[in-house]
Amino acid sequence: MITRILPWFPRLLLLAFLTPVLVGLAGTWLPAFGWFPALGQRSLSLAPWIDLLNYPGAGSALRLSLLTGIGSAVLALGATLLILMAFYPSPGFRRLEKLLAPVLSVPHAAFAIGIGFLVAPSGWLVRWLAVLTGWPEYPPNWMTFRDPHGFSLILVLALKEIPFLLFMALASLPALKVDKTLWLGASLGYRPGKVWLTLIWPVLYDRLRLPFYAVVAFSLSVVDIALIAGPTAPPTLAVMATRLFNDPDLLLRLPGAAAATTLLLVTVLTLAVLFSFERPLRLLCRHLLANGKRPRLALGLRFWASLVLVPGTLFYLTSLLVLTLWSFAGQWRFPDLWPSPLSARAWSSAPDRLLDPLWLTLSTGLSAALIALILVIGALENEVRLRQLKPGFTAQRLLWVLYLPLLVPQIAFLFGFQVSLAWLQLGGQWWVLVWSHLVFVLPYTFLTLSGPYRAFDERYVWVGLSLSGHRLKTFWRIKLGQLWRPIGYTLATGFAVSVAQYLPTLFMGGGRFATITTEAVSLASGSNRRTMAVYALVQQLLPLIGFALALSLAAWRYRHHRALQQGQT
Amino acid sequence: MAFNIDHLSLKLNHKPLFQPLTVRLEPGEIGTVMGPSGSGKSTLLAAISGTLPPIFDLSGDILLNGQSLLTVPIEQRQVGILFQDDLLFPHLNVYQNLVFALPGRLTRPQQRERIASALGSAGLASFEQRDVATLSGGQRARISLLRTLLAEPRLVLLDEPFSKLDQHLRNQFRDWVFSRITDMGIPALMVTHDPADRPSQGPLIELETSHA
Repeated sequence: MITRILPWFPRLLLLAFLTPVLVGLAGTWLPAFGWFPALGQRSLSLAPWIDLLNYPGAGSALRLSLLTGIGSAVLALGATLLILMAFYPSPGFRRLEKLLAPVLSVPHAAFAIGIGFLVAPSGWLVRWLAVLTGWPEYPPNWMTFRDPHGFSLILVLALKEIPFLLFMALASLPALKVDKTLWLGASLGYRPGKVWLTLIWPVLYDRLRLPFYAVVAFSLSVVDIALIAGPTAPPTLAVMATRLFNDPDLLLRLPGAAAATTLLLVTVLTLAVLFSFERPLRLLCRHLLANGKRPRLALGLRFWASLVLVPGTLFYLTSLLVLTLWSFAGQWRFPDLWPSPLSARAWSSAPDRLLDPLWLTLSTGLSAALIALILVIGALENEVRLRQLKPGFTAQRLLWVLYLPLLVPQIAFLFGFQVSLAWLQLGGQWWVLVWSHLVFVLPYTFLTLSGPYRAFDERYVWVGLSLSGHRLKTFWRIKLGQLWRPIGYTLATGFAVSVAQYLPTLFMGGGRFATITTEAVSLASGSNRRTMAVYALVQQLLPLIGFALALSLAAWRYRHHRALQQGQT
Repeated sequence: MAFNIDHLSLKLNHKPLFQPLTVRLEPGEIGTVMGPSGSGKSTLLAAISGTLPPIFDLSGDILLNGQSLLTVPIEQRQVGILFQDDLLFPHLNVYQNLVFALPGRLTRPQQRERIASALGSAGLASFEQRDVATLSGGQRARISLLRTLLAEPRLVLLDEPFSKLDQHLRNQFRDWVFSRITDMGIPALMVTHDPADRPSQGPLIELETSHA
């Protein structure tokens, strides 16, 4: 019976995340061309596009999106390459690897709020400057956060994406045998810089392409971070589209749909341009490889990489510290470095307001993570079945499909999905919210679990079957029994992805659903720093608790089994 | 409990892997399969154990006690497999590894008694609570065989089970495995590269790559 059910899992999985994307895209394109029967608009036209073009600041918004999106993604990729070239492989890098999981679990919104507390004119950095030099006496009239050029947005995005790209690179690097390649290069007289650029990077980039494209698409169209750290007048195009979608003037939803579709086009075009750059760059690499030159020039890689790594790590640590300080601040006058007196008022008054959003965040996150886990395990188990039928079968070609929800801007399909659900009278229901989170949780769940799951030695299952005579017992006790660690880690990842979702919650609930993230983002535009800090900290804590629980449960489960303890497998 | 391979032929893309094979093993008899790499030794074991990918065409029959195994799923064949890796479950201790193999009809005290007696017979008394990662190679190999036999298989397949053991351990373990299988009266089929592994009695099946 199980064999008959298994083929349905990949279909269900694809249906679960492709339906919202495809239905949502169509549901956004129609209003973008004037078709929106609910508002009495029943004729196809280009009027929404003309309205968008005439909308104040639309052109600047597009320019800002391009600058911040492409700028931050390219910076993040460059920094990733630099850090790898300078420090991989080394014992120091191994220590850095351990920091990646907690850093990755920091939700975007919480991180952006923390950075704001650091770099704003009254932030901690200026306070340090004031205390050390006696200047300025008052918070200066600088635009160091939410600046009109989007620099603070680029900073936040790049800092948030470097750990993700490093993490994705680390999954591929062991297979590239970097140390041996560097050693071989050195024995032929080449410095590491040239070996990296000509031999390692071209192969690594092939594997990093999809994650990098996902970073580009995300940075071009992100809304929550742009609301917190981005410029306001005009904002980025994604924020402008969100505002149009939520404007009391319902007819503005049409140019909103045009703006969202523009973002999709811009994303597709940007990715196409990046793709077209790859060939000439590859040829350049090949030319460098063949020219036989062995430049003696030391590039000072470690110095430049440290210039990225040290401030980057400090940003993460100090933003967390400042968030904590603000959450306990009674009064905190400029330019004092520490609040005085400390007060727990923001925390003590929090439970009343926090409880409902917290419950919704937990229930939605856990449900989405669990459903995603079951679907992904089913799909991977179906792969095992197919490999048995057809040795050598791989599902690698499906990777592009998996990345689809990460490559298509959220704003380009969530509105259309919301409209379609409203048309089916399904809007505002909790399970729809879970479904919308599932669209983003599923790809990450698959990416996290597929490696360890595919690496499992199926002979254990054969032995288990021949010993016990039971398929389910063998699957449960022998296979899943050995995979607790990756399964726990995957659940925690799925939960963290759900916790961080802003736009799906905003759109699916039409304002009815409030999670910790939506509350944190809406508080970020206000002036109550203490409450803002409490929400940002809770938002940071939730995924961290998830990861800590997953890791400690696995450690406890395998406490008597040396082969499965951390670092052994 | 006799085991028969009856005119068995395995083909991949219409090309036979070896000449049609006919073998009969009596209870307690151990057959040895030898042949060069690529001659289909492991594929033959896969066909018997029930893990043969359907890209292979199979003709002829595999019979255990007169009953054809071909349509019986792996979990119902009651065919024990011993690989060159011991494949002890790393998340279970010795007792849990062994109890997983015992038939479900036994009560708890019966399970405990059987496991204690099996461990005792292998010189591993009081090893029940040991983490399998702390065992030596020889101990692991013995537990692995005990586990296979506790499941009361009707046939045992040995896929180069001694190849990862050092020479001294190898001779010792080999004699021990053969005596256990013979004592229990189970037919067994062993694939090996090493002529020294072959038991003194029992048929030798030499697979030659078919050029048909």
